[in-house]
Amino acid sequence: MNQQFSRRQFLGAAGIGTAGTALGALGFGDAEVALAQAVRPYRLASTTETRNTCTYCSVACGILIFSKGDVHKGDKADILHIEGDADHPTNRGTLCPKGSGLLGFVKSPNRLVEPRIRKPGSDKFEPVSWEVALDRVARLLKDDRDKNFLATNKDGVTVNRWTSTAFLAASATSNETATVTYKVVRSMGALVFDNQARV
Amino acid sequence: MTDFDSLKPDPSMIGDVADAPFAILPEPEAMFRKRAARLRAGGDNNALTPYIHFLAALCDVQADCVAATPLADGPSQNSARPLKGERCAPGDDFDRVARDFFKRAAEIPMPEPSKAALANLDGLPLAPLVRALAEDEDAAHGMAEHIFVAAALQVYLTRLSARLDVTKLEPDEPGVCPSCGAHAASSFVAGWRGAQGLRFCSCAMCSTLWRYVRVRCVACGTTKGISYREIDGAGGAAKAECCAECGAYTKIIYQNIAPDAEPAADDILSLGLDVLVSEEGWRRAGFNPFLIGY
Repeated sequence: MNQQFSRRQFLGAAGIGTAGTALGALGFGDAEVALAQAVRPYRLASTTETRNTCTYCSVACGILIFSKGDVHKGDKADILHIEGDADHPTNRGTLCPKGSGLLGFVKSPNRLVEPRIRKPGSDKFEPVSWEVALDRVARLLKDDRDKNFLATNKDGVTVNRWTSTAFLAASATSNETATVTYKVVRSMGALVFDNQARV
Repeated sequence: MTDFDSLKPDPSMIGDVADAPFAILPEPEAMFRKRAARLRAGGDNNALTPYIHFLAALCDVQADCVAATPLADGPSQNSARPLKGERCAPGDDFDRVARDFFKRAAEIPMPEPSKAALANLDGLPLAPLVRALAEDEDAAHGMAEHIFVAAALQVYLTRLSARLDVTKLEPDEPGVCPSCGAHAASSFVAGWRGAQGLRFCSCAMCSTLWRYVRVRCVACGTTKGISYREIDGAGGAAKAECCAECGAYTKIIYQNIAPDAEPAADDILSLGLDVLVSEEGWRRAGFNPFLIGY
């Protein structure tokens, strides 16, 4: 531990009573009082800077997210600004045009925030519950796999493949998510499989 | 990578690639002059105006002192914190630098307690005061005497650090100056090309600047529980980086918001922030001799 907190004790030991600061000791106590009064009407804003990774692609640039409101204190935080992290070895403070637009991406009114379905023949999307959406996705996958799964090829060799459905995984995933995604998709026999991070 | 002749855009050029050395050593005279100018420019609409103008005059005296007395070669640079010995028990040259500084400083207008302190220093051995500043021992005399000695030590150590080989300086413990081992006074986010967005800590004693990762406590080194306080509506050029782990804060000054900011000057100009932040119960980690007590 270095000595950063001991300066107040320095004052105590100096035995100078009320003149407990440099300003008081040098004879600028009036200015100090004026400053204390001048700042009285102001309040402090609590902000955070959070280190994170850009979700767009597999380059995984470091970013700093600036927000107002401290969630540790129970405030609701609002993101104000996002910039490249100068300490990050990959991008060293820079961002590509997509990364530079991250704030717009976060705040976009067009963000998909719930499952939606466009039924056959319809020209618009309708919101549905997660339960309905997941049931429907599972149903369609199962039906397609039951119909098109190939256990053996024409020579009788076991292949266990399912090539009539494709899967594109998202780039905004951790290593763990990526591993689980790979296992789930491959274990169904799906071969047409890629990740948005390569796009 | 893209060739210069190619018409293809190079996305890595968007933004500014930050590629700065670990540490930056001062140019003593220019630095003290810049500090004085920054204090004068920022000090007029401030409740602290009399103090700020006094400090600006003192910085000019510091600048005048840089070339005034000869200095023997500094210590060898074979160990970490090469100037630590000079900071705790400076060589004979320090006495000459300090006496010259006191003599010149006595000519600027100042309140009675400051005048008295300078008069007290006349003929007084300086070693106990230097030791009290460095080791945090019991103060040998009044606080004002210590502050003037610290100001003289700034001139002396800044001249010595300017002669160091910057390539031999290495990262030290969190918040500790790699040149002299003093604790950082404040920190700032660089705004100049080539270092944009990088944070540097600044040493109040030898004026070395060294890189320090952002969103990391300068006092204890943790990256957990860091939050910032700024005066609402003041533009956010100066913030207090508060650490929930150790309860300390260090100021961070944003040159991208205030391009003329000078770490030590802006630390003083934003004293109002210290007043409000300390009322919330945070302790100031940065050591600046002109702000002792905060």
